[in-house]
Amino acid sequence: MTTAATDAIWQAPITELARMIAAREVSSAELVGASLDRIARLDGALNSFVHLSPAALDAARAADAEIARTGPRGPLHGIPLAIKDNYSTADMPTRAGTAVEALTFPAADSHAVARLRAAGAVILGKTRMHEFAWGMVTPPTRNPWDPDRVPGGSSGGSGAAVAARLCPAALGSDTGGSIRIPAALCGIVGLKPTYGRVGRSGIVPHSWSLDHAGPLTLTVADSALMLQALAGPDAGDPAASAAPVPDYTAGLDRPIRGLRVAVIRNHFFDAIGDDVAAAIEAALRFLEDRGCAVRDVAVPSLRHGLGAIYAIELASSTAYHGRSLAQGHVAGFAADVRDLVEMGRLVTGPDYLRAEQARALIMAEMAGVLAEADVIVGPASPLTAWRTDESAVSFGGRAESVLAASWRLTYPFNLAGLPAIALPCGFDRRGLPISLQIAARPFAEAEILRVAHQYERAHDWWSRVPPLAG
Amino acid sequence: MRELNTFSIAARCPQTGQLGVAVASAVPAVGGLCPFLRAGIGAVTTQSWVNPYLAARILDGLADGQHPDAALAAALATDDRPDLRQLGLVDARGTGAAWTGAGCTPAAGHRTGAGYAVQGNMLAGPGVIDAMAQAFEDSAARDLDERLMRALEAGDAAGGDRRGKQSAALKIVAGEDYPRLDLRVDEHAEPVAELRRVLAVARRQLVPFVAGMPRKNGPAGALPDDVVDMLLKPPAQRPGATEDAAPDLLRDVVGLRQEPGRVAHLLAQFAPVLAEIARLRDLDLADIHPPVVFDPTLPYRRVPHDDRRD
Repeated sequence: MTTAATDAIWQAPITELARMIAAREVSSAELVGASLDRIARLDGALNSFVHLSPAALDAARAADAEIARTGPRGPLHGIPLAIKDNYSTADMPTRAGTAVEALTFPAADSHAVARLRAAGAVILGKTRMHEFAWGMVTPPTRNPWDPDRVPGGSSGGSGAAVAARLCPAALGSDTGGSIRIPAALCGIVGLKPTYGRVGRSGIVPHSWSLDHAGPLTLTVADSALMLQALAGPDAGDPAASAAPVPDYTAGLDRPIRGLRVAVIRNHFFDAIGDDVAAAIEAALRFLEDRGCAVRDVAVPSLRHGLGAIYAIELASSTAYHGRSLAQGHVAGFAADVRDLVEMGRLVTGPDYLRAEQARALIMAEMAGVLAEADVIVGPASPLTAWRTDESAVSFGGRAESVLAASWRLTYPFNLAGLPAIALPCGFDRRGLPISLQIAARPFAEAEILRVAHQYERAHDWWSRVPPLAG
Repeated sequence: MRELNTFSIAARCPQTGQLGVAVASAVPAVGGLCPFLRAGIGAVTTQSWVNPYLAARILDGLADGQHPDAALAAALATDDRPDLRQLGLVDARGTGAAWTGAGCTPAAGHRTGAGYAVQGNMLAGPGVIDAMAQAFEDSAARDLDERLMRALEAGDAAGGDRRGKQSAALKIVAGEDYPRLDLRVDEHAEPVAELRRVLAVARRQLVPFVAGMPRKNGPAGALPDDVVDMLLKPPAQRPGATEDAAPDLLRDVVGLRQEPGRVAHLLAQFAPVLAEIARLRDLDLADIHPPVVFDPTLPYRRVPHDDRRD
């Protein structure tokens, strides 16, 4: 490997690394070695990894040997990837962010990890998460753009690791925004596929009807490659879909002229930062310039969204954690997580089903919007990364907790189960990344990837490297 | 001799000097076996493979002016199997001491602090002891009966005895040679919750009666008229009867079994969430089928884990 290649690989997306591996310009062992070197050098300040696989280098050498014999299995062969710590793994402990040692999880590969290994990926390690995916902070992980700021959560370790170029991609999970929020705050691409598109067996549950699995990547094309490997049936997940899996990369460059873009002007624009608003309007103008038909719409039932997701998520989480509640393990949870797990008891049965009914209203109105539009475009987060000591923000004089604000624009697509992607669309006055969100009809991942890819190619925000990436 | 798998607290009230023990266990009638109290001397609980004589010897030692550690050590020295015993005690100055023999069933342990000793064995986890101690420390402004009850509830909420529970007891001595409070739930599916209920009744109907009983160094006298009037009524017509007979909505109906301070905290945290959820209750959604679709075929389509590529 040349010096130029050494310098190039740590910043390169999977598409480029896969080309280099196929051309024998770089080996998997070199990629894994480079990742481990960067982790050793940079992760002390970031705290994005909780566990590194001692088997990663051996797996890389095995991948190299196979590639030398028969060529790469596909674009992920030999690529080092990180896994959120709520995906169970055969060769590494799974903690789901909890310090309670009495709680253990199976030492077997979760469905998604098995799929990545089958695609030839090398599993580098496990990334830090907010305990049991119940929060948007992920302490003590820090944001690579500013170590005084949070990376978002709950997949905060995955967001920080990819943004800092410690590895080119990572898995996350998203119940109310936990892939898209860290992607937004760390300036990378986070994809929450359609509910059921990626099997979740082996992921520690949080809220069954809201939990989604998906990737965090540097680029949209990488997101497509990851989804290609992950999508498909999962016999262990009753919600997993057997819908056919299209080629997610084939149409990325197909022009978007004539595409119908809906902008939900209520809820998504009610209280957002000035810099965020400006960046989103600029992105909408870009889409118009590319010949998209951009139209403002309203989804009035979103005013019931917060009550609905609270009721569903709290009730589900408390039901899942029943054993920990009965056996007293919740006493060892972080205070914020323990509160949420215990207070779910207060959501009554009728409240829960009423929340599901309200969810049906939101789903129906979203479907109405998408009957007249191909994609929904708006901000992914009303604010950029907040300081670890900040607990409230103010939009137009109205105070809101950062936690409430952070998921306000992402949870609607968990309630509706629609595919949604968050990707960088500029930087605020502090130099912190701003994020665009694109959603579409169920199983229309190819559509959002296409729009996102073309926006990304015209702006290349992704190629800016955060200061803590050295 | 029986092994009593137990969690308990022995404590002294710094305001009144009262001494007390609260205990719960997965055997019947734990209140008759574990607590030993002597007014003005000390409170002891003896558990695991119970040796009641150790409690008596400790109280004798304390009465002779021994430090709690010394009284405990002297008592254990008389026993041929100290490894099987667990003891917790406080003296009249509130100094705690405790012993957990190496042969006690895990999780077993104890913790002493200002005015208390908390101990337990065959517990759901070490968190039980800490939760009890915390509950006691966090309620310093309350009366001893409430503080002991909260400690027991905290232990219960933290998992308590890993086989479940069967009985609970709360015993307090003040200045007299008879207990100020001696409550037992001898056989019940939720003995700690039941003890809380009995305590509520006792506070209205028993404590005023005991407060009017003859004293060691005073005139025997008569009960106040209002107490006499109350006790002449059938129990169901006395104060506290109806409200205490009604189920506690949060504890019994909702299932929120945390101790009162914790419940108050959770309710405060839940308030803004409830404001959002409550708005859903005002909607007319009768015609809306929720997107919760029952699928009877689910168990039939489970096949072994499939990680093939499509």
